Amino acid sequence: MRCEEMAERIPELLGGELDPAAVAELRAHLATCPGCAAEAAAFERLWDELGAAAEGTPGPELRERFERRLAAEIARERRRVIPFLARRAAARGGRWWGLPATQLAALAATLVVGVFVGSELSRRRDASAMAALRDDVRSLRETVTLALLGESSASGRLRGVAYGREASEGDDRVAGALFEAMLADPDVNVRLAALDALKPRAARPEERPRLIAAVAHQDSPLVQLSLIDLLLESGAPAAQRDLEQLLDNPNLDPVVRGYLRDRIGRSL
Amino acid sequence: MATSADAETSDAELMARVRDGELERLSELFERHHRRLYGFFSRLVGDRTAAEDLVQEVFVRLLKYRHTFRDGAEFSPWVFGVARNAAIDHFRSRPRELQENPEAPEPAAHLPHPIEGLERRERSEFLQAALARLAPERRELLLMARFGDLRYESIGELLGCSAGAVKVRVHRALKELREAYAVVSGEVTA
Repeated sequence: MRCEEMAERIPELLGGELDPAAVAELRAHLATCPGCAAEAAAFERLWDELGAAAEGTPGPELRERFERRLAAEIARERRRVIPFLARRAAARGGRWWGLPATQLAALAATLVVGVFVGSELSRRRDASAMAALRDDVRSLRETVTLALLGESSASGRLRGVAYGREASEGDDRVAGALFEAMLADPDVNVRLAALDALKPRAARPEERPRLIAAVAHQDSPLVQLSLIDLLLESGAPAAQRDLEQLLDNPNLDPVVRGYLRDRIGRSL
Repeated sequence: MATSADAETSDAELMARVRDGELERLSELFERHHRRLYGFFSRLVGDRTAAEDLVQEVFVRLLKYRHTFRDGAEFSPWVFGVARNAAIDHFRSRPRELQENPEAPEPAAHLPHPIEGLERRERSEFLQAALARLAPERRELLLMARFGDLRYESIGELLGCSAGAVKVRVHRALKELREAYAVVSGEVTA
């Protein structure tokens, strides 16, 4: 090796780009060339020194700031994406082609009941018959929602959420199924869509305890943040008090804790 | 940037998941890379607060521009491209900080310290002062080579030149840095 080759070889050595044979060749040259050896030693010292940050190590507050920012970005993203997912699921639910067998069956059942409803309407033209038919329709919606929420594909379950959205306010079974989906569906998007569908019920005092408990037990920070938003946006002072108590829960995810502290701070 | 050998998911795979909607996975990338980025920025700007702000800015940009991360792309060159742009924007708003300063002040006193920690701090200050004497593009190149864990070929792609040219420039930058260090540390007179 010639001394002139050092201009490329030293950066390669420092950058770890030389294979063992090339390193051996370089070291052999350095062993016989005091000038290159001194230069290489000086460069290696500088390289090591450069590797230490000028201002030590970043403080823990950098991570905390980042996590808070990330949580805010995720919450913003969720607000943007979830209505879109729900609309898309609802739109796709209106087409029969390309749907799995269980959904086709559900649609066929809709059709059968529709015909039944029509014939019943013509046969029973009194108020009690209308009430009975409304129950039938509600029951059908409930059946379709529960069937779709049991789909193996996330897109199928999202359609279930879209079907159940309208019924959830007045139908406890549908609300219960949506609550279960929000708690433990394998897909976070389904959980978030279910939570969004439950929004009209969030202001009810009797719903608050299980929603608060869901914050603590939820394993997805994204859903936890959304639950916090939902509870605080319900405007109930008791919801804020209950959430404040969660800050004492040692198992609460640190990101969620930071976000909750920020949100409560802002709403004080 | 090197991925730890035992990491289950590569940096590129993680970034692809962030791009596809698993935004919370950015937290793992932050854990893997924020110290290295902090090292790069703290040497580049010489200020702890500014370096932390820039690290934060890089990760915000990763989130903002996540859709531009292509399948099959390497993470490190991409993130250092983002870091460079963040640094450029930082200096654009503070042009005096970027200028080459041949008269960069030598650290106040450099009497021999008996305590190793103080000596290390003193060497670090000499190095920071020596870096400030380099032309901005040399300083950036050297820090990218040191902190980016990038192959010279990748640095060449970022800078628009060949890997060979990058190696020669790194060698020159090291020589200049060594000379500047000798001056600021009092080993030789300027």
